[in-house]
Amino acid sequence: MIPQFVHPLLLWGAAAAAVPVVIHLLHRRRFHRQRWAAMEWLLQAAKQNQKRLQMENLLLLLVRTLAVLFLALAITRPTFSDAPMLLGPARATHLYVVLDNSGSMAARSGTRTTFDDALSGVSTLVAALGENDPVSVVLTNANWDQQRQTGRPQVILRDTTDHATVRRRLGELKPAPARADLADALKLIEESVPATAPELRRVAIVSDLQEISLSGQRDRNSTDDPIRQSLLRLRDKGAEVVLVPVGRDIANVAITALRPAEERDVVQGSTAIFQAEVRNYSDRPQKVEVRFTVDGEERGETSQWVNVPARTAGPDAPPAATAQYYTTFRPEDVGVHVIEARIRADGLTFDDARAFAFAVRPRIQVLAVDPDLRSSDPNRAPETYWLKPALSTGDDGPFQVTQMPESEYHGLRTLNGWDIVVFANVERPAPDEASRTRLEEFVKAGGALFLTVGDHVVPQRWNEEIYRREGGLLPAALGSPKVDPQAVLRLDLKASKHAILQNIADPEFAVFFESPVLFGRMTLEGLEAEKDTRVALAYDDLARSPALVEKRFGRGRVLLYTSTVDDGWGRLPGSYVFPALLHETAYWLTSRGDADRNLAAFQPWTRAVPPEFASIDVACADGTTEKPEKDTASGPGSVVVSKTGTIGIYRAVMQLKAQDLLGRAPPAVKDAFTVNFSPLESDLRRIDPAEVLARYKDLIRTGGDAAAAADAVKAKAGEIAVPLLFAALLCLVIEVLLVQRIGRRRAK
Amino acid sequence: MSEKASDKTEPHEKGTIDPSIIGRIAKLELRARLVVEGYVSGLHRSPYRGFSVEFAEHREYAPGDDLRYLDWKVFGKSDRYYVKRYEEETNLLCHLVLDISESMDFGTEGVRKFDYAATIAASLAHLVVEQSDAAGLVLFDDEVRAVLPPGNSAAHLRHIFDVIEKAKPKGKTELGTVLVRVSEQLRKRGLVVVISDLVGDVEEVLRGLRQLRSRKHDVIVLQVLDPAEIEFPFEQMTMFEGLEGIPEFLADPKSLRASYLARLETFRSRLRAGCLAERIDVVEMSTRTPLDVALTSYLSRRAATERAR
Repeated sequence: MIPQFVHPLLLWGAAAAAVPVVIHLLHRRRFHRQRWAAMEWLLQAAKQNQKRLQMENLLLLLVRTLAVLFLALAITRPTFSDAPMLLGPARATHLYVVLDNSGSMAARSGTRTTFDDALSGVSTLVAALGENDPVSVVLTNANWDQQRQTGRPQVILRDTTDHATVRRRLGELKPAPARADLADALKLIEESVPATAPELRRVAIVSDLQEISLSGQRDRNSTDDPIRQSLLRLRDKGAEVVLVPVGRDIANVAITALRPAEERDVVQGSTAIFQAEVRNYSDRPQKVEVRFTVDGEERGETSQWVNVPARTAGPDAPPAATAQYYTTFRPEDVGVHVIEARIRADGLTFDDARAFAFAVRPRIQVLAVDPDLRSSDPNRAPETYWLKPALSTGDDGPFQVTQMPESEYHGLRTLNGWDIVVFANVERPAPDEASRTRLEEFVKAGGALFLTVGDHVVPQRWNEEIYRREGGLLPAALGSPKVDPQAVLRLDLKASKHAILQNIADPEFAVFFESPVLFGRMTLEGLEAEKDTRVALAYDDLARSPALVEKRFGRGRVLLYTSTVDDGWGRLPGSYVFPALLHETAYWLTSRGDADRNLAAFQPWTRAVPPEFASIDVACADGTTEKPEKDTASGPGSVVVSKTGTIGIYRAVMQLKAQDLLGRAPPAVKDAFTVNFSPLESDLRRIDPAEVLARYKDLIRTGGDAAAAADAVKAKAGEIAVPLLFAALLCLVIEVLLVQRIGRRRAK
Repeated sequence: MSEKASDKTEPHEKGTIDPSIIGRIAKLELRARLVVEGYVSGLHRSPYRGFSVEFAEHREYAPGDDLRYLDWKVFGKSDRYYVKRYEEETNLLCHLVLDISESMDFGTEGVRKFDYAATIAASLAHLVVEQSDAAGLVLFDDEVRAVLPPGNSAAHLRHIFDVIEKAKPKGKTELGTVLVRVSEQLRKRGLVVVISDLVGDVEEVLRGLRQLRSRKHDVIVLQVLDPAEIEFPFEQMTMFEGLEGIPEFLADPKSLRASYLARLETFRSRLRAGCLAERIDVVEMSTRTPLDVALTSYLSRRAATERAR
């Protein structure tokens, strides 16, 4: 029979019950001394009355203490939920439910999911309430409203006394493919629960207690555990928290990742490698077949069996087995595609498939500006003599290199159509303002600029034309050329962690890629002070002089190589590493990635639209069609789809406005994106309810099943504030009568 | 034949002897003289005035009588021989029995019970000797500490003063036992004036007094009490520090007053009843009571003794 208090903070007032005792003790400590001769008579008198006096004093003390105590307790308004014999009618109960609908709640055992059990539990709790008892429900991952799918905790029912509505709303709910944050959900409940209320306040946490939902609170004594803090505040408000654990241990194998094996865009004519990570969250190793489809079709070797080891003890994720899929995209494949990996369905279907949307780009167009091309000097070979064959690996290769004399380049009106512009030892990178502006606009819009130097480069001129302290294209001011055939140096390939060097520096391939000898380089000035600039590769000299320096410029990238791409200052063109380095450089310079097409659940999809945009329709994964809204946050040229609470493939078709004289619309632009399950949520390990109760001792009352919880939330007896007030009053009356009677007797 | 003479809060009448003033006089002899002379000079205002102090008688001459005392005027009128008998001519023995136990070393209004009792004893001794009676002295606590046989010389009176002056109140009281011993030591019958607070068991007190009476002594008991002992006026929580070795005792006086006063009243009534049965005068004296009350008590008893003779 544990009392609950409407105003628990006022319980401190009960300490006032000690006041009469304290006064009594103080009174006994404050006395004056008196020599006394007639002690014998006094002692006889005292002996005669001692018991009576003690009884009187004790009685007075008791009555006064009880009066204060009853009064203090009455103010706190205590209630006894499980003592039906107590006075007063049953108080109303406000039931607050934290309903976990995270992805793990979709785990199925037989015909029922954990979420089905949770809904049954909530129904049992609601059934235990009085007819007009209010109910509030917080969903951990809001996905019930088609228009407002946030995936965050949300109050979906507030102070509802219509229990039929509650049941109907519960029936509409479904698990969300996202991770639950019980701490945030409890915080929302905590904000909803008033500090004082006439009714009892009961908070029921209905959850599978997935370990990841409570992660971050492993340290049970942590004072910054947000769940503990919320529970403490709820207790301070007088709310009682009960735990309704649901679900059971279910084996799960999941595809936790699907992505390109290399961090580069898929380019027409290149071989793309995708890999799917499969993890086994059970205690037995599994042999799993992974099937791949592209745009729903099987292409080539689509099936692969992998042995997935069992999970090991400890909090870490189990080791992953990797299935790989290779395919080459033809020119007609240019556009957005979706690859999907799938395994056999098991207890949790959310993570049995995973999709990845990507764009197949057309061949990368490289404009190689060469001052020595078509040179009249028979002793000078073109600067790009080696570069072109190194990048152009065939007519169907990913790169198409166009060489252009420097003079012709300066006559170009636009750089549209090129992906990379290479300045190979040019004399005048931007001889006039228009030329510089054109180049800067090109890079800002996403183009790539690859700068190499040589004997034509006059540092002062380059600096004047394309270097600015802030905002210039040149990553750093050029210093002076250092060319000495006797002072050789090499590229320090193995020391670099840059993406360009990822494969080249891989120990598996390192034997092929050794740096050739170089003997000339351009020095740089003030590199350390430059913003947005990073050294991608250094030489192996003592000073670790920069060899490749990158700079972000708008949406594009600039890369400066401080030596030559011909054999003017070294032996690079004749080495194995040369074509590899150029390929990796070209991929890195042009890759944008597909992160914005592959989202987690409830993450909005934003897309830039061209000025000729007319409309866009998105076929959602749940079968509905959505018209994206204008994304005011990202600017006027963007639209956004927020309803991404269903995992799967979303395909968009964008119509453009009529452009030609006949009013015919250009072909529609197709795009796609995917929404995938949170890989963390695949780990269905649960925390033992007893452990949760021990961790939050005195803060969570019970961890029983729904029936036990229903018994706990049911108000069986009313509060006893009024009887306590009467008791206090009675004590005061008794006190007055006692004082009068004692006073009269003493006065005689 | 007893009287209660506890004067409570009324101011002392003009001409009466204020104990607080007498108490400030250090020299006991001077105190005694002041009391007695003040009393004698104020007799005309005393309610007890006219008692036997002026009494004298004639008797017929008998052979052997001193011819100096023949009343020739009576002979001239009646032609018969009568002998004058003067008041100075007495053989009354007055034994002053003074309590010097520690309980007497107590006073709340500037006068200790002992000072008051000592003044009474000295005054009575002075008066007795002035009247040519013999005064003796016994000091006691739980034992008889000093005994001076009765005498009526000035030197004897000074000796009594000296003994009283040197006495220090200490030791416990065993009144019953001590009075029995005193009665054994006072062989010649006379007037025994017991001056004590009588704090103790009333039956023990009465046992001692009865023993004195059994020896044919006339007995006056002057019970000297402090006003606080009579009224118990305390209000605050009080730690009562016991005398005569009794440990201290913390009490709420308000809650004990009624019971204490009832206890005191029980003592009084039993003492009065016991003394009445033995024809013992009991005079309860607050240290606020004028000292002449004690002298009056003595003189009235003396007169009664004379009448009985």
